Amino acid sequence: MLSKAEGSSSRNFYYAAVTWMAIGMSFGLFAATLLLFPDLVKGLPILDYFTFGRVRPVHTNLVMFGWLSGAYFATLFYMVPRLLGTKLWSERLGNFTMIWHSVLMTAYAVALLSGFNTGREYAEQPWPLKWATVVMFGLVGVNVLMTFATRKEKELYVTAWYMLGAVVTTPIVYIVGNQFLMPANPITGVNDAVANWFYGHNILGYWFTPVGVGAVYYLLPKMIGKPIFSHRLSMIGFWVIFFVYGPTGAHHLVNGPVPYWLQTVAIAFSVTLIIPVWTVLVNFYGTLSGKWGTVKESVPLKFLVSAMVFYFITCFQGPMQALRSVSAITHFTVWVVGHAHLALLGTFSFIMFASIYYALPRLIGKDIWSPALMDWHFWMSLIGFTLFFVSLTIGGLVQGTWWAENQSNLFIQSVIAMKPYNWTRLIGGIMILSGQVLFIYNIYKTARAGKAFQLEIGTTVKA
Amino acid sequence: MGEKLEKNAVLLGIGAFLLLMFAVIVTVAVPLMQSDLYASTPAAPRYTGLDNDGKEISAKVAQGREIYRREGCFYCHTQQVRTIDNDNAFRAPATKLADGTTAGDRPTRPGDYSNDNPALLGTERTGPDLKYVGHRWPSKDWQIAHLKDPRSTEPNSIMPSFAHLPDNELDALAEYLLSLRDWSIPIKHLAKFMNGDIYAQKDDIIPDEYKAAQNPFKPGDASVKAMAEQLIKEKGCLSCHGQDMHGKDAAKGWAAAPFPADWYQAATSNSDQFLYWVISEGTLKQDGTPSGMPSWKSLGLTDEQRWALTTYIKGLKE
Amino acid sequence: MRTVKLLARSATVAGFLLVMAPRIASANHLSGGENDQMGLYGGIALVVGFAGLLGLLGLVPARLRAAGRRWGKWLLAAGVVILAGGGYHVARLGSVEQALGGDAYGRMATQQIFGTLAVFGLFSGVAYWLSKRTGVLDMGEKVKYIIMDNGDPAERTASRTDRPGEHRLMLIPFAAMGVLALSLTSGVLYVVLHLAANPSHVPGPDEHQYHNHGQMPMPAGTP
Repeated sequence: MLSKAEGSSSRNFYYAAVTWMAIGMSFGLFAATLLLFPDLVKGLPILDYFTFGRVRPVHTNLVMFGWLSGAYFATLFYMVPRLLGTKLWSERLGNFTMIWHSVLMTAYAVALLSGFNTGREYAEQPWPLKWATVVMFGLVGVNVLMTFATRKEKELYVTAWYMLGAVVTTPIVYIVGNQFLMPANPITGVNDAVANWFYGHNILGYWFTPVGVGAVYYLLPKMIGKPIFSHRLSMIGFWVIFFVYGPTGAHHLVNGPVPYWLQTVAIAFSVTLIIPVWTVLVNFYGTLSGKWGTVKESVPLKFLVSAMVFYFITCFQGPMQALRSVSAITHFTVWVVGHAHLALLGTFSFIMFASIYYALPRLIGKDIWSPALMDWHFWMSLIGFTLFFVSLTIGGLVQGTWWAENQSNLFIQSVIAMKPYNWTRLIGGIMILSGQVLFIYNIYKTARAGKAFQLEIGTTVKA
Repeated sequence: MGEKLEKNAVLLGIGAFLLLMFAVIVTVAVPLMQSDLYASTPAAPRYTGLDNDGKEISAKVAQGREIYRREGCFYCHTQQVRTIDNDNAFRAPATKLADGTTAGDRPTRPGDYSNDNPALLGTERTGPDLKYVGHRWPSKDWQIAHLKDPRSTEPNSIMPSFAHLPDNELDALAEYLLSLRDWSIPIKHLAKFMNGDIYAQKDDIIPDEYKAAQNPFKPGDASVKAMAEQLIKEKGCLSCHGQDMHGKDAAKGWAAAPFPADWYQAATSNSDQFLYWVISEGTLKQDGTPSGMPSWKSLGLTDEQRWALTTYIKGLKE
Repeated sequence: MRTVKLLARSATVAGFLLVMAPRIASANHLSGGENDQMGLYGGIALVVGFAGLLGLLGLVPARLRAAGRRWGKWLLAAGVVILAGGGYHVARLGSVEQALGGDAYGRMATQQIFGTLAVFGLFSGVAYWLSKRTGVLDMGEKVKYIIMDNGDPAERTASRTDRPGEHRLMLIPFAAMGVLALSLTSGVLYVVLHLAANPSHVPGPDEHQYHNHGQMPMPAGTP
């Protein structure tokens, strides 16, 4: 298993990631079903313990760490060596990390289903598993940093910047936000929530965003045969992301029992988050200019274009809902659930689908088995997700309006009002998951029966 | 140029690291140094020692909190009342304390969580906020029945059933839910009737404001009677007090004291003011914990509605 | 050596922040009804400033390039001024609104705004200085071509050239973003304005309404 073959760790991580995606998303669908049929598991032996409160953290942890982070590790192992004109420092270490990752995810699922939950959102893992998580990020970090140290290409392309920045900062975000990995949980009271949301938001800002955006900057030129529009602008985006993301965590506690100044700082920095998304979008449009026809023929590019639309909306919605008057309505509603999925599913998972469709044929030397299934995967994901997102967003406004109008009296009315939205959410979820089943089948067939990948060097545009 | 850029990789890492450190200092370290975030308010729940009534705090409260966390209750229930009117219904009721100050009726403050680890503030309200649920639903029996089958008390609830939990865990969980109160309000200060022979009580135990209250309605007013009958039906009073309004006791299937009162007997032995007080504030068991009779004032009945119920009961004759 | 200097400067910034960060009074809960005009100021400032930035970097259509270079820095400066002035205005409004509370809120609000502005200013200054020193800005755009020849074969679609009219495809994501952004904004505005027009009933101290499950029957047979 601990192969030394070039690209093996990246390939294995991609396989592991899609497997965890299927498991993680199934738990999500199960949770959505429980909202409509709360007595679904009632009276069933052992299964009756798997109520919403136990299923939800399994879903969030598996899709965040099992699927998305797994795919990110694979993408790092694929792109970083190619950006630096060298090989991955240690394929063997990479493959070991992949096994570590899968064992750890199994432990996550078992621990959370058994009720070992720290009571902190996205930081639910019991402390021994937190140590194991840091080790996992550390192992990836060592591999990536050593690849940097042994690089042949001295000039650093923007993707390398983003990936290096992410690898350096993510373990710190994790450690600071997870009670410094101490079993005694030294940070108590409201500061517990403050630290929790520092982590909860910045795992997005310092891990999911930089690697995802970095991957876009790598994939785009490869798909349309044209370098990115402006490297300088992407640099500005890099520094702004790493500067303004950090202090925004307290926008999860607006109007809550945390210091007023902390809320203000978080809101101010949140609004500034519009800048990095603009830099990405300007670059995106600038790069695709004159090559839009390519989108018609490339499913990965379709995924990227959709991801950019959703990225824009995420970063448009985010600053808006950080404002006090908007937060007063949207906070605590399903609007926020929609927002979270917009970033992690609509944007970064879509980018990873594109990465897999791009990288896997190059890693295993086989063409994607069925282009038709690729198309189906895209459209099922896009339509399913749009349905999901729109129903949660409208539902959130309905909920928030009811609470504001009635000062939260007659709360049950807001629960009743959510029923149709929960149904559309479920239908959207079924579509998304079905799309992923087709995707996984396609990947499986590609590995087993794909035709040989035809190398065809694209034209290089020199200015 | 290559030499310069070679260094850039290191510089880049350091730069990203320092920017993150800036965020850590501003949004994690500074709040950690802010001592007033830890200073406990009297309203903060406690898990050890004595409560405000001088009683030992049951270890079940802390145990129940662990179960609350284990079962992931905090994913659907927040425990924070925000500083905006939208959350008004989730505030603790305004209560006058012995020293003349008023407690309750405010948003939660940092000090209200000083003994909490984890804080369990929550982020979503699939269900209602629970920070002060102990004021709204003070009966343990009600809590346990609701945990076992949420749809028995609210047909539209989407909360899962926790009937699979062992009885001692349900008991601890309910104990914890009752502890979700404003702790600056001692249970005794809620001025509720402590169980005993309710029919033998004199008006001297009634708080002053109830003693002075006057029934605005005349006995036998038909519209008042209609209003009361409607309320009794809506609120399900008779599910405890019996369809014949003669209350329940061990013989009628109510296991242990306190028993739901016989309205006919109360009509002859208790004053208007006494009935109005009990309906308004609810009652307590002998050990100071809430009985099944809730505070209908806290549950939203207006003065007028509570007087209507009083008038109705007073008007009952065999 | 450079690293040492960098660390020293960061430490200075951190120290400055600790001084600026309001401490005791700020943990009080002084909220409700405060002004969100800052969102508007911030939005305008961001648009103007970002346009200036694009102009400075020469990332505008060819016929606007000369104007962009000339006016870019002024637009950027205007953005900063709108941000600072707006922040000050909102902070003043805040202090008026909260004056009755008898707390140091007004001072704190301006302090918060200026603190945040100072941090942003310092950051941009340090970032600009560093990029000058390290030559990142002088790297130019050369570096973006290295990925085209890194041995990783491009997609087959890379060599495809656009057919006439295909550039119009760009309108699809553009429209999608526009429609979604407009729907979100109008949805939120509708709710906010609707609520402003129909203020909720504020119960007096004596008639607090508690959320009620409609009825509260005790389950039969339980003690």
